Amino acid sequence: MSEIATGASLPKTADGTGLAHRLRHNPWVLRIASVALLLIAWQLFGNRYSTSFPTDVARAFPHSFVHDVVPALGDTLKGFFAGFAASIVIGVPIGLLMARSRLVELALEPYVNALYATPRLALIPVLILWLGIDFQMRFAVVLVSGVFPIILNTYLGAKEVDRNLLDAGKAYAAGELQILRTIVIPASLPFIFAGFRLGLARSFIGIIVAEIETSVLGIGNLINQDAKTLRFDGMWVAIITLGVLSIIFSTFLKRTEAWTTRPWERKGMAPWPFRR
Amino acid sequence: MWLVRIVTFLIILGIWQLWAQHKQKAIAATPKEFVQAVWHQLVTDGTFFGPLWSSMEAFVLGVGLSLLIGIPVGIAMGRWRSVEHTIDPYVSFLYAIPHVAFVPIMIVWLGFRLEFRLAYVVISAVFPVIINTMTGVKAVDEQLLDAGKSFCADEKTLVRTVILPSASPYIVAGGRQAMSAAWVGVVVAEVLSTQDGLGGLINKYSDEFLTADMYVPIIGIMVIAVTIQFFAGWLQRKLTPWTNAAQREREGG
Repeated sequence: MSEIATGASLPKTADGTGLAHRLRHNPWVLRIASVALLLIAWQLFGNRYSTSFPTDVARAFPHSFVHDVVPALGDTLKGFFAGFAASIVIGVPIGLLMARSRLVELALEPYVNALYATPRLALIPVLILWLGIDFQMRFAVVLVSGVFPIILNTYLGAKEVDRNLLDAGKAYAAGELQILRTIVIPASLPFIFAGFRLGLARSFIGIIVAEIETSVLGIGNLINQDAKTLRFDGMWVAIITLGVLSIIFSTFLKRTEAWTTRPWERKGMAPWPFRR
Repeated sequence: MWLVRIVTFLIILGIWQLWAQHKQKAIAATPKEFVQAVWHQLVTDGTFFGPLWSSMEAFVLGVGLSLLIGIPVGIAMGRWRSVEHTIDPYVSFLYAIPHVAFVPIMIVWLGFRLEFRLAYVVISAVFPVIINTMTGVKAVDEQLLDAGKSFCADEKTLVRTVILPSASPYIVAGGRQAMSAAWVGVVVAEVLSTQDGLGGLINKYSDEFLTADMYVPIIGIMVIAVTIQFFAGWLQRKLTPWTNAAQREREGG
């Protein structure tokens, strides 16, 4: 315990078994203390800034969750899952096609790049005009938000595939489909998943913007209506649910990614290569 | 190469024309009407420029504020564990949640004007700066820090002469992400608050069913976004020329 450590790393080898020491170095102590402080301050000063108190939010939670949040989430998630599934079904093949065919690449690359870089949320008013305010519009908003990150990441990932592997495949007379299935797709999976994650985040934002804009259905509308009518406790319930939900989604994707890509685990590749 | 691109462009124009010409004018506008609207808004009337400046104002101020807040917070979080763990629950929560959910309450608190737009832009843009700066500060070579300390450098000197130069590629990459995120923030805030800027212009024309005119701010927003991206990439190469392209990608640029 009191052994003299040698060299410059002296402070780091300090004994880490004492309770006080462990408390001081456990990040959760500070995290919980910090959140608790915020909640107390909110409880004390909340009144002054026209918001509700944490205790109100807690009291409103069961009722508001069951009667407002769950039905609203149902509407949101219907459009969300349909749109996101379509983004994957459309985005991945287009990305692969762009990477494998020079013609498609030349034709589509400028548009994909430009649309990827632009705030596609600016298109929401047009989509509302064309498609109304119902399921179709939500579906389209999610598709427009989610498909471009997926296309671009799939394309970039499939372009990065080791040439030697492709040549080896060709040397053994593999057909295009076989090359895709056994070389290109496995090798670009981490990129494809990075695209999914980005697309997921963007689509979620897209659908909420659309719901606030149209104020008919969904969780975005619920938050907006609650804020407008100064029902802040209900609003916080919805916001917190939304936060938890997005954390669950991204964790789910991360797990799926780890599970799918483990067989080909490559060292030195950043897990989020194309976050822009 | 250019042949393919021109042919694709013409095909898209053709589809647009065919699709739009049999629709009502309130629903869809043809390419010709769009060009007329561009000419009208940019040259003869100049109605495009007022909202454009208003948007750019929110963008520039928002990016500036995000850097001003994000870099010190990022440095503090990277330097001291206690600060990191005090702040990181909020950073992770706010980074994970779609922050548009806060727009309604922000409108209640801040109104519809510049304060609201600025606050939303900062919420959109500050987290990439914080996270990148923190990563950069943590990645500073221990030996350099030890060398600095053994020559009795105080915290201020250490930050100025060792940490900032060493973390600068990360900070610049964060700034680049922040610029893209900030422009999205400007547009979202404007589309939702229905008053100012190019986003407000979209809403105005959309409410009046002036579809051809509505395309102009939309395309304008896209052109500006691409320009911002190019400008930010150029700035990154100018500011940190010693990092190569692959490294920039890895650092999330």
